[in-house]
Amino acid sequence: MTDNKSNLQRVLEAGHFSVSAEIGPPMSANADFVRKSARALLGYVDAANVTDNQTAIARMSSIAASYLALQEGVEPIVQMTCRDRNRLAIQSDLLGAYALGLRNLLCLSGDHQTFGNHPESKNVYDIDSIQLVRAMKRMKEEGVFINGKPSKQPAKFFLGAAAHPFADPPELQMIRLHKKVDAGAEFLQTQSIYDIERFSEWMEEVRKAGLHKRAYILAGVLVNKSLKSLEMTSMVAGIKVPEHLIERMRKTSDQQEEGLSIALELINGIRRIEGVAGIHIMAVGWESIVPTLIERAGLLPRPDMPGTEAVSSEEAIREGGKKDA
Amino acid sequence: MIVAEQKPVKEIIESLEGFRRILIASCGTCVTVCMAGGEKEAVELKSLLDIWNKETGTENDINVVVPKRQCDVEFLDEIAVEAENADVILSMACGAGVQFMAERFPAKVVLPALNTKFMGVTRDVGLWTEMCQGCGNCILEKTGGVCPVTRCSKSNFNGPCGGSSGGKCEIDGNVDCGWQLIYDRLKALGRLDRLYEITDVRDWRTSRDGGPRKVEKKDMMV
Amino acid sequence: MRIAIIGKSPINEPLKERLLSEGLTPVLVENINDILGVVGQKGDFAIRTRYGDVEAGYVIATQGPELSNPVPEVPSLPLSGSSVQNILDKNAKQAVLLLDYPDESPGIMTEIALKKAAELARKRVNVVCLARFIRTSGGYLEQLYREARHFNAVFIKYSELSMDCFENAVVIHARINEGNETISIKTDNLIIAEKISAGEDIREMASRLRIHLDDEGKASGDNPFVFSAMTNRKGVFALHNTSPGLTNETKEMIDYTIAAIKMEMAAGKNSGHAVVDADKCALCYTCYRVCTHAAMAPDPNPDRSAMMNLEEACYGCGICVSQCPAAAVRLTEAGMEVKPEMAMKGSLKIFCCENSAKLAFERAKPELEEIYDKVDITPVSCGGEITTAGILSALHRYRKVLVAVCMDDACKHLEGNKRAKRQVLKAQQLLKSIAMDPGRIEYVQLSHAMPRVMAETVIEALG
Repeated sequence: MTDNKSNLQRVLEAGHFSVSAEIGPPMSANADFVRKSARALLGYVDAANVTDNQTAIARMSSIAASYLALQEGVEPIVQMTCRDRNRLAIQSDLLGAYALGLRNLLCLSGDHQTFGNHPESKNVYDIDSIQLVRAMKRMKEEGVFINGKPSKQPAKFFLGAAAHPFADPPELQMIRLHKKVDAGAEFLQTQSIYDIERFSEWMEEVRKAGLHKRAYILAGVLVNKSLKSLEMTSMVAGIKVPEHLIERMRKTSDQQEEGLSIALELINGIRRIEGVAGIHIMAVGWESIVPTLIERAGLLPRPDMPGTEAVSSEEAIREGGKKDA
Repeated sequence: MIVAEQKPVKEIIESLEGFRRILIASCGTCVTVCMAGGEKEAVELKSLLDIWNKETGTENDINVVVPKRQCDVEFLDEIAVEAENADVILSMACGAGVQFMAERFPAKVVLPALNTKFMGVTRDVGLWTEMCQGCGNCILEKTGGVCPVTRCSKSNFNGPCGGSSGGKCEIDGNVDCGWQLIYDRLKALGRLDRLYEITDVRDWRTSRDGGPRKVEKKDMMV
Repeated sequence: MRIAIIGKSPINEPLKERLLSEGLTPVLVENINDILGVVGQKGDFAIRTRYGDVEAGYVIATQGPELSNPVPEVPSLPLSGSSVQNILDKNAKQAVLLLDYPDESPGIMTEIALKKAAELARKRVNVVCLARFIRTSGGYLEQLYREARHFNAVFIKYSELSMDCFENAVVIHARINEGNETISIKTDNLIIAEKISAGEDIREMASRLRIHLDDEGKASGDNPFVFSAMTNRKGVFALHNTSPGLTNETKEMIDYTIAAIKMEMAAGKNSGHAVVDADKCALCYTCYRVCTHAAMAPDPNPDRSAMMNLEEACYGCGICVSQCPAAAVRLTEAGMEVKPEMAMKGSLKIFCCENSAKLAFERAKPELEEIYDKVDITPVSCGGEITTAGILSALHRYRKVLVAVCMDDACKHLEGNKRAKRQVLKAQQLLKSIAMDPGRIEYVQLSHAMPRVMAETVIEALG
């Protein structure tokens, strides 16, 4: 049971085009908030990212919120950043996450804490995101901690990392992509794409290197509800919004509808590109639109993978308790 | 060298409150070069304190000494008499010097005039930037002479992160992305292959994380 | 005495000849990219090149300016080229010379234009010379102008200009007569005077010779209004803003330069200069960097690990003294040093530059009347000598301090006045930080010819 593959992994391995979205935990201990967010996505996604102190703002932890989402029947992708925890805390938290039945892990560097609401904090960065992927890969395959010592029941996550098709410097970012896959990343989520042509070019490089066959490329699409939202997105490092899209938002009389149209066009364009294995949908301040978007993009119904409901939290915990710690 | 900056004058004056015989000790090495605690700054500070005292009617006796360094005890021995005759010593050295001064004269209150910042270099007259963190395990050979621990805001060993944009760090458009610098340098030298392999996790024990450190040169100790 | 000529220029040959005829020994270093630097001082320079050191007593930098066509899209001939010969070969009947400078044409281009206009006109070509403004006064140029007019060359002053191109011909529409008329001239023989600009080569040369260039790329020296060949470095001259050819103006500058060299050779030892205390010097190189006269260098003596003042290069301006973080430099003739017998008390202490403010103050005596004797004045050789500590120290005994220095571009040492301003601002900041009135320190910039401003400032400072 504890070696069960996650739903996301099964969907991708079966050759389906995967759909994932995001759940942002609250800045409080409000469990119901998470449950509601999860319920809204039930049946619309194969898995959902549960962010980890995103933009360095202190929120309910990804692992705790993931567990709550799992209880609602939505499979979470746990996020772990390197900014806030040293290797002891990371390994400790991830063992706990696995014990709670969580199966997907996205390894990130994490936005620098100066961006967030606790800029005074010490930043940890004991290990970086690539080292984290490698560590969890070694734990999965060799059953060892970072110090090389074994764990009787190691965590065996489906491992993911972030990809940055438009960040600088391009040659080095490609080298890094290689390193992530070499380190053991099994899926890669890209930052939001707005420029299909440039993304196509990047995918060509990826295909030439055969990386798309070693890791599943999940393309990120962000749906904006307003011109302001789109303009703010274009200021984020690594995301390039072409001028013609901004023009469209400026000229339209119904910004929400336009935002939705743009997202749909992007999804359709991206799906056609060879090597893209799935789509990852983000919505800033407009989470409610995600189910509608998925539906209108013709991405329903989501595949029903046999055996996945078996990975319920209670069973996983029960199973885990049977073996030695 | 060690780069420091003078504390705000108000803070210094507040810390000196109540003391009558004040000894200001400048340092003639690093903090002279970074223009924070050299003789010039010491004289300036004394002039300012004299004005302050005159205005507030405070009775103060301020003297200035100019030891070459405050991190070698012989220089502190040279000012022992002046130190003896003072109620408080305002050290304008870096944190190391202030502490050493306090150790040398444990019966005196020793106060810092500076905030010690980093190990860095002079970029231009009046401009110094951080270059080294003293991590104790130098990997500059792999990174073309640019330190990822110091110059990458996230101390990424397999960088950059996705926030590198136009050669600048995501935290501040004026801060260079350390990994862009590393890439540029290695590329120009034809040594980009140094980056193909994953750099493994670091043993931080060589850094301050392992506790306060020391260096012993046994061949010098009899 | 060896004189080094540095840079590529058509005046190198005539310059060499002149120097030889004066009994001096010219040494040519044409390629500035071979030069790593020039160290030393007047009478004793070493030009460091890739192939070794070249020694010389004086240096003349001649690297020429860049000439570029201001309107490349229009078919034309360059003024400085063999345009005259081209036109004569064509048997052309008409030629138009265009000096399209924003205001007055540079003397060199005027000279060439007048000469060529006269030459063409003499050969029966109808010459029209268009310029916004040509200065033709002053001996030689006036002579050339009259000669050109004598052969019926026409000179037209315009305020605005536009051009239409047709194959090889150009029609020029010019607004003349204070903008009241527009004339159109068609020509297929247009000669355009090039833009002269300090190109990359001149900047490289300036950087390696440690010469300061102004915004237009001309070397600026001790008194830029008097003799433009002097630079901020004693013994180094710049004849780089010359034309592609030996003009009258160039000949004059060469003569002047040689005379200046001879004067320097005959001058006695410099008594007013800086001195470095080797025990205090931290070898931080600040004085080396801030010295505008390249008068600081590391002491070659291995027993003295410190910077050293090059006495013959030094002007004694005091910038190094005020900027040295180790207080390791002093002047042999210091102004700012407060001598015990001068430790008076009073309402106003004035620190003033002896090149400007001190003279203005003396001239303001009649206006100041009895105040003149009540004010305590400390002249300094340059605003560069003034320190924050000195200002604060004066405030301990005086109610107010006035710092009076030269106008913005008038400082003989290029930035002594700016340095003084920084020290004033710092002192004011420090006063503010202890909740005291920064207005106790005043700052004014003026020239020696502004006694009224000085008087007003002093009266206001006394309240």
